[in-house]
Amino acid sequence: MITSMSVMFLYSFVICTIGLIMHHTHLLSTLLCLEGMMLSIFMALTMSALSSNTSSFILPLTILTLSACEAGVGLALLVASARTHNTANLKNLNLLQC
Amino acid sequence: MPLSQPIILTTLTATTLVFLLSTHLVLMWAALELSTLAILPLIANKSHPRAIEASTKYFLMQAMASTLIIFSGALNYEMTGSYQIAELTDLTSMIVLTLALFIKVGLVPFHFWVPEVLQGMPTAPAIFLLTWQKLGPLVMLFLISHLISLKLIFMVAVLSSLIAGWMGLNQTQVRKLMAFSSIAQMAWIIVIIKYAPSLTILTFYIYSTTVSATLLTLDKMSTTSTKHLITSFSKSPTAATLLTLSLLSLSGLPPLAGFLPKWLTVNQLVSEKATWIALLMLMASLLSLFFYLRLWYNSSSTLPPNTTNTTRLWRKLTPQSNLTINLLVLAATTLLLSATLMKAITKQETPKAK
Repeated sequence: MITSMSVMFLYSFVICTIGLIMHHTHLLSTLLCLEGMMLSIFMALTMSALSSNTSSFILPLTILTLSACEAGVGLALLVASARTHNTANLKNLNLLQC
Repeated sequence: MPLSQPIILTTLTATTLVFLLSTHLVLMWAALELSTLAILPLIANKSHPRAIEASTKYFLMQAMASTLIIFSGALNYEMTGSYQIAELTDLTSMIVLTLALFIKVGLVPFHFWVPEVLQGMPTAPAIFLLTWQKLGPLVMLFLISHLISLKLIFMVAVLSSLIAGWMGLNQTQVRKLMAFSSIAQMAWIIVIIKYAPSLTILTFYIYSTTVSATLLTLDKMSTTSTKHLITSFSKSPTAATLLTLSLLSLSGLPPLAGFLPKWLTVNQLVSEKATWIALLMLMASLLSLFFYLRLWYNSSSTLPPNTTNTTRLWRKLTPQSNLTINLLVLAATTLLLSATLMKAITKQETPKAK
């Protein structure tokens, strides 16, 4: 059942998604928006676990672990692009254009 | 072979199998996420700038789509209290899930990552990307297909085949052409998913066999652009012939196996009174026929501008006989087996009243 707290996390998810779609500058800001999306889902699931009788408490922690793995891979790609392209600017990732 | 390769391949297989066997949305998200993480080292293997750029773009698109999938699961849980995909009843979460699966597969409003990622990666892992990685999202689309609106599917399918055909007309890089061909074939796979899901499975099976045959042949010839294809007949005539058969089967020409799914799909669409959709998809497949024929023409039907003295090179660069390629091409091009498949499928039609 949807509460006002859940609506707030829905809004934060939507703001982070729009930030991910409309980024222009740096790869790191993209990764931050991705982490923001996962974090808002984590908090929404935790709040719903606290306020309902039958809910799993371990599920948000599992989601958080996997999103941390994903963030690690994103950072590895940031380092790799800094090694090959000498920058992490997204406008410089244009070698493969049609 | 480096030690990481069996680990990566095992992870890819295992995560897709876990995805196919699960019904809990968070477990499906976890399996999709892990398969994305497992294929990234295959893309970024050589670590030159194009490969790193391709792996970055692939990672960002797939991670965003996975996050949208788990968002739809969390939203459905808030609304209805269940994580099971069979009990997905909230409208917003169903729409978000559909769009996220379209991003994963590479259909039209979200197709921009496919040519760029396929261009930057080596040709052998491209086979995994185009066939195995699409299996999971297609199965999930099949599971929720009774909830997706028909107009959305028709619009996405027609636009995919048209846009992929048009964008492929000016390309000379072979991997980008295979990317656009995959977007167009996905359109044929998705168009029939509400009416006859068995045709979706058939189309996906024949598409993955044919695309694997084509890409394996191209990998053995080490050609990446049409400029390199021109001398392929003098390099190895076997490979040029196999490439011809695979390409013509992909384009859907009648004696070869690629014709069967198109024929049955058009048959089903017309019998469900969606004649305009069938007509538009057939017209759009003419556009992709053009670039398949251009690849065939460059590889097997012209002489190269630099003439060779002999018809074969004096030294064999690549091994000629490769059983995998020959078997795959045979599977992709025979119509005998597909005739029995057709008989098995047409038995499911409702019998006409006497």
